[in-house]
Amino acid sequence: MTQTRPAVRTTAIMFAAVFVGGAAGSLLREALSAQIPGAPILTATFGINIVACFILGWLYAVRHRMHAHVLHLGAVGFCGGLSTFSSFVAELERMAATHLWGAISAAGLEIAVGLAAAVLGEAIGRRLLGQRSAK
Amino acid sequence: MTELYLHAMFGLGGGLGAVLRHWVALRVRHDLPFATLIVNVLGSLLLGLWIGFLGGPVDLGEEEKRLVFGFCGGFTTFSSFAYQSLELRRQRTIALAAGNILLSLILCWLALLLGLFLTH
Repeated sequence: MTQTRPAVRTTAIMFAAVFVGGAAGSLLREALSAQIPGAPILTATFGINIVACFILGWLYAVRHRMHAHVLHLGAVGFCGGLSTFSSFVAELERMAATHLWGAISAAGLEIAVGLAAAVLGEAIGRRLLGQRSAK
Repeated sequence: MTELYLHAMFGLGGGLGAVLRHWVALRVRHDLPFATLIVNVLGSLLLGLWIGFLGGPVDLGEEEKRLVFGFCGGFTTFSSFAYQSLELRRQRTIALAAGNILLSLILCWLALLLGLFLTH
């Protein structure tokens, strides 16, 4: 990948978009985590990760219609900042100390629902895009 | 210290984490989603180190705690991990998708435990 002068500006905007999206996603997660009462398996992190998967699926379905910087802001920054793997694993580790099988089930459930949410987000994104193109 | 300032530190950590994650993604260009695996493992290791460190006899300000917690969350990602697993299943094989999921879970879990172990 060779970079020319104008590419420097593009790179700066790209990283700025990732930063802003990541900060916004992280702050939203922090705010939501404080509001959502966590159940043993269905923790706040669980719900937030699922929502992020849904939004990411949606964004990827319509990515050809979006400016690259919007994708950096939304997909890389926001969805990445909103979702977290480290807290997910930390919660599993805490649960595993007392309920090993509970933790394994929770991991499987969260990943299965996350994949389903991404597929659903994609399907809805494609459908709405198709409706708009048909007009 | 105002609550707003603490939120700003968390957001700053998250933003910096996201930027570093993207930088890693641009560096580690590969057909398989190794970049996401790397950031998730490193982020889990850092979180383990941080939780263990804070459990020890340290006297840190709330802002440092939030900055690092924010960073771990912004650096690691669940959504890209899920989407890439989906893409592996579609474009490659279901075995690769399952491998990505299992490897991510096991390595991140071990990384977190290692972090906790090292600082305990």
